[in-house]
Amino acid sequence: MKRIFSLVLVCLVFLPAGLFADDDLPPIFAEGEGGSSTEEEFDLLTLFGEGLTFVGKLDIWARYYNTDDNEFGNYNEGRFLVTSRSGNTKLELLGIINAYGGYDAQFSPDEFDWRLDRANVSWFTDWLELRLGRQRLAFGSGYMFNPSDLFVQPSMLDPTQDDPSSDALLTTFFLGQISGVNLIAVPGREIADGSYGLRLYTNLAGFDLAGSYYHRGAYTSELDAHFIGFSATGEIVVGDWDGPGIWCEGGLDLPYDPDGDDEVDSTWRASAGMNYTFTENFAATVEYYHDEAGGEEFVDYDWMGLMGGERFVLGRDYLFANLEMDLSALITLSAMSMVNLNDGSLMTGPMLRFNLSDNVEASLGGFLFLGDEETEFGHGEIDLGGGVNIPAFPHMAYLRVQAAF
Amino acid sequence: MRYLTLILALLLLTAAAAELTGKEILEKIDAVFTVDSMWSGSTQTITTPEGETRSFTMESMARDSNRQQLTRYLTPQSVAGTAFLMLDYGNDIWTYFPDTDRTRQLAANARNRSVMGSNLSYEDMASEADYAENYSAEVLRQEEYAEADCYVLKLIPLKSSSSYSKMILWVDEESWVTLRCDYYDKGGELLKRMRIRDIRYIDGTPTPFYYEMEGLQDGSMTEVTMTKVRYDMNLPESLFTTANLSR
Repeated sequence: MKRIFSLVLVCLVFLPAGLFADDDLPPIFAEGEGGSSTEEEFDLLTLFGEGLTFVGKLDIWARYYNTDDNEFGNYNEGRFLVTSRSGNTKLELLGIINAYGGYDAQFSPDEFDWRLDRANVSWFTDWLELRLGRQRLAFGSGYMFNPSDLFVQPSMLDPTQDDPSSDALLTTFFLGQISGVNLIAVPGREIADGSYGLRLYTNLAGFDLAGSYYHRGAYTSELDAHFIGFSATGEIVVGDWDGPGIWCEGGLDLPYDPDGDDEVDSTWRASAGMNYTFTENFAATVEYYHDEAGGEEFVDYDWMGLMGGERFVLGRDYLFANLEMDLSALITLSAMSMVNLNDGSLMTGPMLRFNLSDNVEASLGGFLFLGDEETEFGHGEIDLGGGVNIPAFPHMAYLRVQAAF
Repeated sequence: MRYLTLILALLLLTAAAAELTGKEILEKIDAVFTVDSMWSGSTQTITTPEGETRSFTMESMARDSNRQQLTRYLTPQSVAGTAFLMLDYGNDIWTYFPDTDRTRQLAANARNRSVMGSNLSYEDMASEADYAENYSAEVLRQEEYAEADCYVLKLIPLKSSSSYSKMILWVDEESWVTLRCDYYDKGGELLKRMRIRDIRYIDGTPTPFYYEMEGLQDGSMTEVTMTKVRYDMNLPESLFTTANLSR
């Protein structure tokens, strides 16, 4: 009887307490003396990301095009990145496999291709880094447009994807934590055809500043060029109010005829942008771009240059905007738009992105291209030759799945 | 008589302790993390209001009492290699994304953005060692919380750019570790709650091996568990550079 009474008493006292206890949580203070960090087994070789790593990514886009025949296409990409770091040396290999199908296949000579996009080895000390081999030379800080970058240009449909890398030697002298000097050498098939440059970067009064000079061999088949670039990134601060992040970037091409005295016009391009995070889950980005080499009117547009990858856009002046809102930790809604300010045409692309698991994301979205008949994003046509014309920018809807492993 | 002296001494000590100002308590909190350098490995698990979970592992390095921090995601593969560098207690932040191989400076107004969809913002991750500089503090009361004697403080951000209107802290009077922190949004509503557990003394420094941040307005939760911690490794400044983000 005494035992039963004790049991009931224990239950009465501890059961309610148990209901309100944080059962799943560890205690506030760990039991015992704690410990010393020296007692922990640390593998110094893996402490700062050393060793061999592999990351594979699959990017599958199924696309519907609103053409007369309502066509379907797909663009698929596999990325396989291997890095190996040992001491002061790092090896980086990135292989990319592309496969195109349906409507998308007509823009590529092969339905299937692959390239070794990065293959470089770098060696570094506290004050020097040498990187030799195929590498990305991406220095600009703009979101959509990077006019100070000579060697990469983002994709219009996805600014996180860039053009192929360059075979180069990049030498960096570090002058403190956020300052340095880059020496860039991108030799062509012949040394004289290469591009060679110097870039200085630092941070002053909270602004990341960079200035660069390149000599561009074989700017065209007849011309060489000097190129001067700059970029600045920072923020507007008024009192203790942190205003928008701002940036600007520019590049000036000064072509010259190495064999003659012909006068050649220079061209410049520049971008300026700002972004602001309104709440923890909502941010907006706006960017303006001017390219003096772009066409002011439809008849001046270099469609073949666009198809050949020599041009990123056709007009002179653009306004880009992107809104991004996290609807939850796993769902993001975004909408990007780009207006050709010369002809008033518009490209706009809403997207809903779902994080399906730790390594799988799915995106549902589309692009609408709006404008008059003879405008960049309007219903112009591209002449592929042989009497074949295709709509330049048909409306598009897509389902995209990205998986990492 | 001896007992009377002891009791008086205890009372005097208690009175002296009670007279600590809010700023003095903040300085004691900051002093806890005054370590030359620190390296840690951790796992972070986000639980959505619907019960879905996402997990990350990362390594973090800090030096000069957390004035300089570098964090790199190790898994999952989708974000492996993504890294951010915070200098001057997070007043200057650079992010690196391996897919584009670009390093970008993060504007100050973006410090209140959620990091990788978690309940933690860059502001949360940067401010933990610099309370005295960034907040004014008022001692509300002393009370027991989680079996520990605590000061309860009200903190008001000195910068209007902070995403919080105020924070209420429960600070352990013995270890000076913040055991709980309630964050209030700009509208004065309770936004999220951080709770710290599993405090271990590593080299004499009280080190939380578990903390959670609960989103009280949407029911989400982020839990962080330290897997390894090491102090005073003489980490050189050259590790805390934008160049090292990509290595």
